[in-house]
Amino acid sequence: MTSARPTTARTGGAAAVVIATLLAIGVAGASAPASAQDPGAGAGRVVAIEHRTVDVIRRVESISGDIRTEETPKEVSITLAADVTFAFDKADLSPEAAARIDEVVAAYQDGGKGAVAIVGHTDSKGTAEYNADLSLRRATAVRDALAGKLPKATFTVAGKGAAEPVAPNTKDDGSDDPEGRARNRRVTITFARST
Amino acid sequence: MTPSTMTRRLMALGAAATLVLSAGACSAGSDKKAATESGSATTVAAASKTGSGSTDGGSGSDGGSATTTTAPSSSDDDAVVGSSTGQLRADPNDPTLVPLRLDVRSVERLDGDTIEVRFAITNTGEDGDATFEAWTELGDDTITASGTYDVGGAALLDRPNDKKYLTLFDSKDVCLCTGGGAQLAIAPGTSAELYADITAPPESVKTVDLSLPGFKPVNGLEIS
Repeated sequence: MTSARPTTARTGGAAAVVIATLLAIGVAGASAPASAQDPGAGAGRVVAIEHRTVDVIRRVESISGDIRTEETPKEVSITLAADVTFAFDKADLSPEAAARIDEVVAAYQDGGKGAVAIVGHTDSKGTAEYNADLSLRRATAVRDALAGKLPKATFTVAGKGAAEPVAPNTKDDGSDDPEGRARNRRVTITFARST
Repeated sequence: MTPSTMTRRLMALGAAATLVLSAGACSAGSDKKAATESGSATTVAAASKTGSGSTDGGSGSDGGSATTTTAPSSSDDDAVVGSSTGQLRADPNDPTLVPLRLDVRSVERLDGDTIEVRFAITNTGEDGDATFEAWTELGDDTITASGTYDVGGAALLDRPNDKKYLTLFDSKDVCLCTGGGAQLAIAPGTSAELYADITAPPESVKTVDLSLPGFKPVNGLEIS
């Protein structure tokens, strides 16, 4: 059987970086819909890979996941897990945070320019007001740490509370999703790429 | 527009020549940022041989797309540079665990920024055992909450440097990897050939571990 995704290639001045690939797979021993296969095809293995140029997002994180960097051709976005960066329910940077702050500083020095946008996020537990306040205080704490090491950079800070989750706070059956909530507790630092 | 089979084969022949020329690409030692030049960065990768199947003709391409189809290379079919085992549920509604084997065929640096990993998953169950159909188990559940219908959960680990390199997705959450919608099914005794394009570590990193949800990591893979 084969399956494939529609390709929407995007090129242009935004510097499409690389290669996207589209692959139709064949499964040994299985038959496939006739419309998607060459006539007379039997068991299939890998088929040709098509390459296209698109805007891709490059993602690298630490193995524990406490810091993740996502890069597009235009921008860098670094996410710090709140549980490592701050003590529970607080906006003071933890001792462990220092190394991660240094990584953010290095990333900006190596490849960033312009204003640095810092946004704090919480999970959905607690009131909206409380979460808005905590997330803003955490973003501010990160800003203060970065500003000390990047004296010429300009910063904006915001606290979005639980408004922009990246993971489910609850599971489908309504029960708590602690892993999802942990992912939502974060501070993101975003800036334009200089290269 | 769906290319005819003949056209596809002509393209494959032409691409095969290009393939031979680019075979040494992984050792070209290009600068890590070189691939970011606008527009023109394309690489070509060999696919394992096939006697069947087809690429999707419904590419919906716009005028600006650059597409090359590469010829399959028969020599890579059965290469195995590392293996591990795992088990995953048969499908989202069937918790039966399916025994699976992961065989890594190649880990190739396409250019300074991208590594292409080709691998096979085999259902090592017996006749009559469950078919593996749980696509989202292999996907990346940080892209969409329900997990993606692809092998986008593949990642390369550089443990000495505490780095995990994740599968490439485009700005529309489309994976640069094998995607199958709900159609992937691996029956007992059969296998599927899969691939994932992953952000590359710096050129100084020579070996990595492959992590795929549900499987033990495959360690010590050399980047070619």
